[in-house]
Amino acid sequence: MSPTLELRPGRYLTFHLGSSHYGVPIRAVREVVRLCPVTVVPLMPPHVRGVVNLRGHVLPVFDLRAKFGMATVDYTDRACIVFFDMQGASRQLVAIGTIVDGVDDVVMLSESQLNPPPDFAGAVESDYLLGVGSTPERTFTLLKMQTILATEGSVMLPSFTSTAAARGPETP
Amino acid sequence: MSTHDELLEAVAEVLARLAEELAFAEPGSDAGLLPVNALLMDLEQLPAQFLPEALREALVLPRRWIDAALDTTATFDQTTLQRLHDWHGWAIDCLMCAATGNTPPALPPSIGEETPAPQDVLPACVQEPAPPEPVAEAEPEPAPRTPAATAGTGVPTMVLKLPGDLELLREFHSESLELLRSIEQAVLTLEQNPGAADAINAIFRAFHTFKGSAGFLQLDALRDFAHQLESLLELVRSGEAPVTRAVIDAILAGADVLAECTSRVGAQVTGVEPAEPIPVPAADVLALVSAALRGEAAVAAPTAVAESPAETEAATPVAPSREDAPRAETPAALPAAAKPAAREQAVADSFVRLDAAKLDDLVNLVGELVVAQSFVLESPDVRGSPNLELAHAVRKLSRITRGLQHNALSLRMVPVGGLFRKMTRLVRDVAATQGKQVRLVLKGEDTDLDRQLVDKLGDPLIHMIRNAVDHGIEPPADRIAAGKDATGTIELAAFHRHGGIVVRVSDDGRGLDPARLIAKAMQKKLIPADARLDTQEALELIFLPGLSTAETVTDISGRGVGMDVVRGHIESLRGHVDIASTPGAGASFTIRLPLTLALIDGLLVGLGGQRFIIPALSVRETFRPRPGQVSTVHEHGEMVEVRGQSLPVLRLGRALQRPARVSRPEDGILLIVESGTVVVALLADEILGKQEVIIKNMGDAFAAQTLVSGGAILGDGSVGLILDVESLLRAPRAPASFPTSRPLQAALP
Repeated sequence: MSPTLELRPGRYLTFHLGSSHYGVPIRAVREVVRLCPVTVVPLMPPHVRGVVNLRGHVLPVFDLRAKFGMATVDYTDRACIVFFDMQGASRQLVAIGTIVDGVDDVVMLSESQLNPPPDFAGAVESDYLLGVGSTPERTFTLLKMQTILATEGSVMLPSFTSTAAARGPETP
Repeated sequence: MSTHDELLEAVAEVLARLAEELAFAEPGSDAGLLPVNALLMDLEQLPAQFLPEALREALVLPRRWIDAALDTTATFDQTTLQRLHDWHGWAIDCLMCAATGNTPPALPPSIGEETPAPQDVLPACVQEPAPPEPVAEAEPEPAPRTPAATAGTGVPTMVLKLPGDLELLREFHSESLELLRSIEQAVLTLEQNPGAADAINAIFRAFHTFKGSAGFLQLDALRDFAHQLESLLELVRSGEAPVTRAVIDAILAGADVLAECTSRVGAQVTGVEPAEPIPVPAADVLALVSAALRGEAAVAAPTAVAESPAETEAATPVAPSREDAPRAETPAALPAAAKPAAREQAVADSFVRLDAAKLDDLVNLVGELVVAQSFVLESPDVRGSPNLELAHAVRKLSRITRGLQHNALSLRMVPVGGLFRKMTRLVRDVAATQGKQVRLVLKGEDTDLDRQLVDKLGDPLIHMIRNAVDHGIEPPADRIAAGKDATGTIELAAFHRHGGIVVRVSDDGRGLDPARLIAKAMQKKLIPADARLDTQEALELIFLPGLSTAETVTDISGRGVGMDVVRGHIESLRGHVDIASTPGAGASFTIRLPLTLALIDGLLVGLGGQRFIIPALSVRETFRPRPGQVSTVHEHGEMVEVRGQSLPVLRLGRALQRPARVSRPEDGILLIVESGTVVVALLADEILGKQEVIIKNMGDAFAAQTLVSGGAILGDGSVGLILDVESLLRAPRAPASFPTSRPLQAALP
């Protein structure tokens, strides 16, 4: 199993969509760029926004809001495209970009700051979730980004982040 | 019939390119003048039987207009453009009539009745005593001036327009060096084989281009000199003058003068020499030309390699003062003629093997450089800067960048011929071990392929060629018994089709027997015993792993590995293999490869603010329809009448379900695109230009998207989508009344 699909202590890139905060293992991230004009590809589902030129490579860009079934917004200048390394069909590495409202930080999460996905997450949803990470300031839903991006259609995530945040960190 | 069609198609293609150039030409501008000139030359050089007679005769008209333009202002004027447009329209009609066997229409009065008036368009040409007739195409040039006539008035000179024409002169200089090289090359060929039409044409073309470019830069003396040389070649080309030693000497001497002038131009452009009139010492060469034409019967054509250059010089009255510079300019040419083998060896040794990944990195980096460079160039600070030195430096940067880009791209493209020729040996070896007689015919060897494709095509090709020799071609006795030539033929062809590349292996052997394939597959339990397959399905069985059709297993092929591996290979290149077979007459395997990495010529079209690229190969012509030319036909949607042919109109916006800016056809532009036998008029908002682009694979995320075959990085760094014309035309057409605001999801499966 790819190390980025396991819940491990380490550095995580955190970003947000609206008021929901997410984290992904930094090793899964290839690059973050400011949102640039995306060339729309016709006849694609709404979460496939189009393509951009990343230093001579034409890479697909997904709209993460659409992918998660969230309302669309007009992106501000804080919006970014986060590129994730993906295992392509012919085993070469390809990258897929996702538009997020904003990138927050890179945080170091230790064993004690990581929790497995809550029980109430269904079997399907837990395929998309690494778990929950928390810092004194915030709680993050940690995502298995490769699995999410490889899944066709939209992906419904359980909205437990706010619950978890309300409960606060349960770590001793 | 089909050859006839192909010939007409070749003409149609040149005419289509002519239309593209004309579409971008404007009065008072030189944009497109030289390309139009070159295209006219293409037409003029097509073998006579290619052209309908009326069209061939009418070719002198645009030639006269273009020559007049090149001789005077070197720009298009309104009248010329209008005439060219009218002429082009008439030429298309003419071609259509030829294709349908009808009588071609008469030339429209606007261009047909125009009387040639070359004298009043010629510039006052002070340094030139006897300006040549610019309408010489109609009849062979009279013997050039005698040396005495020219010598009396001194050596003609030309003055470079510096610094105004600096950029153009630079281009002229590098282009001329190229031309000189091609002349040398062609002369070498000609010396070995005086009948080589290609070589004669190449030299003719080079002199003609010299003439055109020199005329364009108003280097009249050089233009007239090149014109004389061209006239000599014209006589040789038409067969009126044989290729004699004297003719070759005249060509070489002419090339020497051109080389010297070129090097002087280079020296003045780079500032090594002060700007001063450059003499064009034409007289001696023209004397040689006259001598060549007069003494054509006296001197026998050389049959073998030329004498040494020293002898050549000694035998001909070339002015000694010119010897050094041109020799320095072209050091490799003549000595090499004596030792062609050594030269080839040197060429073979000068290749470098390098890591393909490094090459890819280079191409990507250069792509970025071009983008960054155009960003600098377009910046308002730079554009608006009064600093001339900065402007100069930026232009220089941009020229170097373009050169670098072109170079880097070409590094990755290699002609498929190298790979093809390897197969010759394979065929010979395999045929020998099998006691068969097989001839391998190669076609389209100069088709450029991305080298990654060429590399990966090797294994599948070896398999397929082996199979063709081993299974396809019968032993000589069987072939004779079947009434065929004892020698079997395998054809290996490469060509561009539908914006992709096709490689086809076909043989005239026994073909595949569908019944035997089915029996074999059932015997090996690869298909159920009660399976019912049609012929095509049966043929496809050959791609199943573990199926072998040979009665005896040979050590060449027939172990049942091969075709399944071939298919795997091709599919990993995102291509596919088709099979066709006629029992007793042969089989053919057609590999279609996407252009994944190949460079293509694209038309950039605008649709609702977005830019799309349509491979220029699929576009037959483009035009703005007249109001009423597009009509709605009940149950057929919109149709457009193009020269008597009714074509369905496909609105690009509707096909892609993107908003279009244009709703009335007469406000937009129609592109007549074809894929196989399907021809459709595609309605877009506008044509923004044409551009060579590299197709970039967009990845698995768009695997289901068949309308877009890839993306390309445009000049401003954004991505343009390359449309797949084949899928676009095959997609079910929405009725004309379909609302454009159809929700996106509705189209998804």
